[in-house]
Amino acid sequence: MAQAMSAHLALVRVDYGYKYIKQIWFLVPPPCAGRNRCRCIGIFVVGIIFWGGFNTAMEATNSTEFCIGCHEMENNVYQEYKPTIHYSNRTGVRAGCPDCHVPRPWIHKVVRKIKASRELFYWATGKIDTPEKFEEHRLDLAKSVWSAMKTTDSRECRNCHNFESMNPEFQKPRARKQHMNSFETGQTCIDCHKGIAHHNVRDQLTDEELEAIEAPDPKYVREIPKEYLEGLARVEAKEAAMAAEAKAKMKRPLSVLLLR
Amino acid sequence: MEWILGRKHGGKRAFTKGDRCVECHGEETETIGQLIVSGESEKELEPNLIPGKRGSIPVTINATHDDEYLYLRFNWADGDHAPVPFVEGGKMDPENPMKLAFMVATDEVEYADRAGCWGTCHADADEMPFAPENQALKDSELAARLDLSAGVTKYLTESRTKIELKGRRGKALGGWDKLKSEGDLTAAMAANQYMDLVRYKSGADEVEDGQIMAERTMHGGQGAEVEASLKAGTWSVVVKRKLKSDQPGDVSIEPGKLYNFGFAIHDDFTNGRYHHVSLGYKLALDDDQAEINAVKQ
Ligand code: HEC
Repeated sequence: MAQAMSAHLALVRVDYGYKYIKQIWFLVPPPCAGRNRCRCIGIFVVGIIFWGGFNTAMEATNSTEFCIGCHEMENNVYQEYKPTIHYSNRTGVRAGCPDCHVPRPWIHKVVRKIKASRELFYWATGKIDTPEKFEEHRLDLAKSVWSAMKTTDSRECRNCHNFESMNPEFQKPRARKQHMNSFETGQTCIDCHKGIAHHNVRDQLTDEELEAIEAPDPKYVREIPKEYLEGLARVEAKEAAMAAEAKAKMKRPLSVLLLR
Repeated sequence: MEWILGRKHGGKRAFTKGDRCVECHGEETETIGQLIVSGESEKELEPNLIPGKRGSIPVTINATHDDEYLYLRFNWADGDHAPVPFVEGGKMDPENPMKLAFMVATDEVEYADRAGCWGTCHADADEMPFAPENQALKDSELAARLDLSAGVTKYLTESRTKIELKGRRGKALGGWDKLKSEGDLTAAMAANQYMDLVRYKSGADEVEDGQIMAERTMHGGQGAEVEASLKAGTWSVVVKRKLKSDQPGDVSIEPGKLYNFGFAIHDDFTNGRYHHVSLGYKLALDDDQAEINAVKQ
């Protein structure tokens, strides 16, 4: 009796395993039995290897080191990025090439990688292989990144930055004001933050292009995060107290002077 | 204004919508001033650098009134002399170590509510990048209607039919030559579209009262009394001005209203455009909403 029980349990377990495989691979072989069962497990294992291999290969192309493997990137955009805050800063967090230029969600990442394979062709044909050629195409390259950012609500900026964790307490009044405006009118990061990691060529856009790429988009209007409002209230209270203190210190009766 | 409303100014969109300069820049005038005078601004704002020039001047303003007069006291520290390399002797206006001017306007004037004096400054004013050639000024038929002897002066948007902001195909920025008809200008004056202006020259100890509309005129107002002194390195300028005026070009200051106020200092014998200009502030009587609140005593 005890033996029969354990055999039954084993069978159930294999069954579950099979269902699981079915869900992932959409393979619908007849119910496994004997050698077929081994074949199923084989496909499962090979699948994992391919899947893992595919992702590993994709990830291998997803590092700053890989990106600057081409001298086009190493000599131009990489050198420009090195003195910027995204490369080196107080807190030691670095945003490498893929952090800003490759989407995080898997499906968008694959699409981006497929598109990027075109770059291999340009690399092979030497489209931007001298600094002069690079400069010639810089504006187009920048424009394509800017418009991608604009259509995704600056998704790659938001890999690291987001409005919920942004605290206006640590921002200058100008930035506070501008971020408030951006919530209300529907602006996205890239509208204002262009040319922050590479030479800025915003000036080369025509008035029409500039208007199109920087116009607020009602789609991106968002509620002001609670955290943001709280930070704003804190800093405004702090500043009001400081202003009152300064005023109290400087106040000298004007009448004394006038009645001399 | 052409720069403020142009593509290089990060605050253009918000300014156009109604945000005031002080909301964004009120706390950073020192930084911006330094960027400008040192030529380090990425915006390439100042081609004629004066070595050692200070970028900003912290000024304290005290204000009070007694129902008849408005009293304003400006205090600030005198700076070291920074000789101007492109002027013989290093002083642009050797007679006057200091000149102080302020403007008052109602919200009737476009941009006065957010820009103060900056609203009157244009890219084609004298010594500005698009200042017209002397000959062009002499030949202009507008010479009969404007005093162009010292170049183009400050003017309001309301006085022109068009002001070039984009400068496409090499067009000069500004609109000095697009003066509206005399009838339109009279109507604008009647609609309070002018900025009242008082200026004090320390050397000549002279007070002038005028206004800005189609151009800057230095006469026509009720005037003011000014007492200025430089003691122990601190300038003190006390202005006494009647609250109410019946003169054209003057703004009468009444309780319960906010007025737009801006001031400028020609520090260290400077002249023309080489002055320190405040952002636009609000002036009122007994109202702490205003940055410059004249409290009755
Ligand atoms: C909504 C906010 C906002 C308002 C209102 C605003 N600005 Fe700005 N201003 C900015 C931003 C943003 C920049 C760009 C800073 C940058 O790009 O480095 C800027 C830049 C400037 C600079 C150049 C500073 C530099 O880097 O050399 C000056 C001068 C300036 N503004 C003056 C003004 C004046 C005068 C007004 C009012 C007439 C005004 N601004 C109104 C946001 C604003």
